[in-house]
Amino acid sequence: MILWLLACGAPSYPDYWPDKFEYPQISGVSPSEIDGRIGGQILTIEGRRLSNATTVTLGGRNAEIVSVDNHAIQFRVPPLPAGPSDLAVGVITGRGSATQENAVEVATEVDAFSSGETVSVSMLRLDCPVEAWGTYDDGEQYPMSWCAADMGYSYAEGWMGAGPQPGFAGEISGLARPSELPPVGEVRVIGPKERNHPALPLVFNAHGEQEAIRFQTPRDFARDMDFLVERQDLLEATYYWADSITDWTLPYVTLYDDDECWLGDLDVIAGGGNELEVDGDASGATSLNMGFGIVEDYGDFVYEDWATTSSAQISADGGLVIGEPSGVEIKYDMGSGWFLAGSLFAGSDIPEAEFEVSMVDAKGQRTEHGSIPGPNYLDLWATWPDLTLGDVSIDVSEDLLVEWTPTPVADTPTIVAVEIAVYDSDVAHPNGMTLVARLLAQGDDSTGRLVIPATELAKLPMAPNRWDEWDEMSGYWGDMSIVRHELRRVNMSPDVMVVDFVHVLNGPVRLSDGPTGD
Amino acid sequence: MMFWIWMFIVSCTRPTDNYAVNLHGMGTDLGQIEVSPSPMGGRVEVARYRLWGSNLGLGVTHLYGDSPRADGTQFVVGSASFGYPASTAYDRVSAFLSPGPNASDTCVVRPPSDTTAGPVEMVDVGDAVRLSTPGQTMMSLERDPPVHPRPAGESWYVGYGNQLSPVIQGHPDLPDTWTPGADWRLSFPGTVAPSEATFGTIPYPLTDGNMHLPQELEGAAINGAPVRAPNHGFNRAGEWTGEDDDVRYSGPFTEPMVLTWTPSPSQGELTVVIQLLGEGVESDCGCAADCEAGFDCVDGGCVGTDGASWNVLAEVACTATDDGEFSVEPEALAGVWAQLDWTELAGATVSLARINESTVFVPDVLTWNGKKVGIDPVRVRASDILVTRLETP
Repeated sequence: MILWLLACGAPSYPDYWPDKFEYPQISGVSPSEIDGRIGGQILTIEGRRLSNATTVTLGGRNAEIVSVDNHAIQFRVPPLPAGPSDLAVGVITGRGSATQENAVEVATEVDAFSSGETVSVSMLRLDCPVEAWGTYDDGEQYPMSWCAADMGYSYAEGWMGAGPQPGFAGEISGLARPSELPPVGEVRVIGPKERNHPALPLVFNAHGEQEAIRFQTPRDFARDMDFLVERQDLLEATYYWADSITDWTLPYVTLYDDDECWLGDLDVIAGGGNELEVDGDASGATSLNMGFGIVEDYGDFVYEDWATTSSAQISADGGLVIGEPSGVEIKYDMGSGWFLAGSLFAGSDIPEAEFEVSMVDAKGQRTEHGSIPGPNYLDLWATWPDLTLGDVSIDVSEDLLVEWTPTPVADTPTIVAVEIAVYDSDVAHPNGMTLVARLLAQGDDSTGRLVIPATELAKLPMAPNRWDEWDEMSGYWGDMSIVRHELRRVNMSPDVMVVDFVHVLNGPVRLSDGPTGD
Repeated sequence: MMFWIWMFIVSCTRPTDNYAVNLHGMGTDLGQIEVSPSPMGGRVEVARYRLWGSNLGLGVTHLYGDSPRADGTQFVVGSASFGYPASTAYDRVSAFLSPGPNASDTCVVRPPSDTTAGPVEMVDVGDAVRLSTPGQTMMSLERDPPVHPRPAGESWYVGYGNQLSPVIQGHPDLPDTWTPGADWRLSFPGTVAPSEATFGTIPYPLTDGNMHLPQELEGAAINGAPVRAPNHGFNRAGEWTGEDDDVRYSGPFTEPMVLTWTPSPSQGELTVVIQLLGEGVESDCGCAADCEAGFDCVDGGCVGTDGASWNVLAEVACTATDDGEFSVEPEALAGVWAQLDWTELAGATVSLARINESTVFVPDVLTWNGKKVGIDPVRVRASDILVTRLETP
């Protein structure tokens, strides 16, 4: 009995560091504020018994130790993912560990704006060229299909995790993530042997199958058709084979039933407000895609293509279609944990308009949360380089000027970033393209102007953008994105939703050391 | 009374030798079926996959679904996990493809692998587990989550890797992700957990681990037919064949399946795993057009026409001497059929793998309440896996 009682009192494992008086002590970190999350700054931990430090962490990430003595450790700030602004610093020595909470603050506009964020939504529109130009081995330059007549797409997704997730909204699209951008006016190049920036630390939270987030603005089919006409103009202006177009089918709608299965195509007669008149019977349709078609006659063959420019949930009676509001509903996906948009989602579905925000809970109850201003899209006709051409050459021996129309003055953060990526198309990647190197730069959206120095461009590998004999991409290809993030905040007391309207102009770019002569 | 005495005497003459029971291939002696597992504190694995058969998907990795199908592709995937107290599951159960039986040129029937590590408290070893050569990181298995959410007491999962990488060898700018026969240094930085964390940590770095990658598995053929990637409608000359180029082979279900390959100079062992697959729903569908090629819309779900590679009903694992030829006999599958409901059987695959196993010794674990727990050793495994499609039995 005595032995049994003694056994109960015996610890099963020894203390890791038995002498607490030998533990390190942290008195502070200087400087205690950093202006971004890309890392690289040198900070100093001050304290006692710091010699023999083997491990330092900041915000839960390993930091490189630069120097150590008994009273100070210098370390390099590691790349940090989006998350809380106040970071803990931790130290391990040979004799113990110490942690100081809230030792370092990340002080950026996005961090300040995202405080309290618990619901994060990204709404993306990406515009890209019909074709990409590449060069064959014999020097001939030729365009091949890239984004086809759609010239882009829209998408939305959201995450509602188990707790605070400040800064997540801006990161979700994965394009020019704010956490990996250098300060305004600066450039960073991430070489082929450098590690990727940390991923978003998503924390899963279970939700009900009916839960959804809606962003709605009144339907205006006239606006949808204006967008369609603009797309047609863009295609005419940028498509190399535009002179061969013999017929335009515009506008037309493709109708779908409840199962999202195809019912038929009908020409549009007129539209305005939430009413659309079509040339035929649309009864039974519950959703539609609007777009245009082109026919190219080359004598020995006829080529046809179709572009989708908007989508709508509808009800229909004969030739009269009534459209539900524009916008997007992202629904909880049980499989992934994300809130995802449906499949019918096109370029004009997120118009430059005011959006009413509402949420549907697990019981199907809808709650209104006010409204937010929509995006201010980059002007496709006034942005330089003109990525819509699919035919941009960058001479890395000269500074690169990037220009765009500044956004109207807003009281919420707006970020314009440039990303140039080089991929090796000869290395098959199971999830897309094999990245070799990237350049990231952040501009000032109030000026609409950013200069990327030649010294930074020259750090990228050259990208000649070649086609092989089977008309497939060969070797290194360059790809450039001009990205605008516009953050919006929805106060839902006590929760905060942050919405990131992301507009991306993306297209292939050739990178050469000296003019290519084309 | 006499009757009972007679019965007693007769019972003494009852033969007590081992019976020739081969229901599970090697018999019923566990020691013959598999190496006795040892408790281990984790596993670090890297595998190069080649999906050389029709209607194969990423479900073979246990990380993704099969849609869209990925046949013809190759990739490298790494995974690491650490836990305390040490668990035998880390020793014998792979995150990807578990080795075969102990004895060479034998097969065992086994249930599908449960790739989890068993009842352990997970352990954080820092931002990433790195595999490197001097001056260069080849593979970095990043921690999931990248940082622990606060309060960290809600978070118990810590894993590493589980991302697909392209196969890179001898690239002018990018480091190799797979170098047959190479020795890679295995390291991690150690870390400090948030004070309220319930998982363990290894606070000190590991700098001197090692992983030895197997030699490339080449020249594989089944019943004389080379195992190759499907051509997906076009041949490499750019000519449209219009055919789906079905690549599948007869399994050992009624006749022996003879596997041949280029033997390894080291004459080690080759693992052969035949997996029998059930159905699996990949995504919702309203009509056939909603499903990718290789899938049918059945009752509102996209279902693979050859089964789901992530839904393994049962498997037969063999260990073959790496001498270039091995035959799997139908008798080796005798125990499988008792485990299966034939109506659920939708497809079959065979995986051929060279698997190198070793161990690494790591610093002790710091538990959530400040205690020291040794978890040595940690299993290290590198596998070159070739998967192809078998005719559905």
